Amino acid sequence: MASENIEIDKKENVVAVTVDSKIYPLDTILSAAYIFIDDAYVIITGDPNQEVVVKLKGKGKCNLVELGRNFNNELLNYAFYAIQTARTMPIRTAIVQRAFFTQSAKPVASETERKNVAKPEKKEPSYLEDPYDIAKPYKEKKHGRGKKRRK
Amino acid sequence: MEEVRREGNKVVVELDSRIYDYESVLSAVKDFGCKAELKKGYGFFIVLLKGSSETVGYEFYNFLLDRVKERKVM
Repeated sequence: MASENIEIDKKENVVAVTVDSKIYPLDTILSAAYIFIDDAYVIITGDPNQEVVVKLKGKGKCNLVELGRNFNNELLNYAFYAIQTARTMPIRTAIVQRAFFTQSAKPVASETERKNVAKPEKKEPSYLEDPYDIAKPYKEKKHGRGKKRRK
Repeated sequence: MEEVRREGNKVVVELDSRIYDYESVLSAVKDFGCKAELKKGYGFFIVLLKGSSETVGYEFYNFLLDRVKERKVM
């Protein structure tokens, strides 16, 4: 399948991809091109209102047709991402607003108000209850092993 | 490619001003590793880079793309 928008210059090791900017806006083209800066040198020319030409010059030996086709795929990927972002923008804004509203809904108590609030009384344990078994008389434990006491 | 050419010991890079905005170009020229000079033309910017290989010019294009993306792309 021959791609209509791909031109290859093997001598220069360049693939030129022509993009209709009525379909893909400049932001999308720039985002897609940015992906390729590790594999190729990216040069963008043309009119952003009509047609943009993206030239990818391979940094090493590479399959130029594949490079051009991958660029087309990335364009589609970013275009879809941009549409989804625009579509979900109101709900994301609502979520963020709700998060801020929830935080500010709690009234901040002043210093005096905080002091006036009665603290719940802690029930202190009574000495009669003896929670640590202090009242019990000490007894030596009998162990089977160990040295016997001298009499 | 005509966007990058060598003139003596300098590499000339031509940037389309419809694609690359002035602030990004200026920022890239300022921070690019080698000595660079910016000139304004009708509909394009010219960047003169000190270097003997055209690769410097292509590297500059990639560096600039990084700056452009930082500025205005999601």
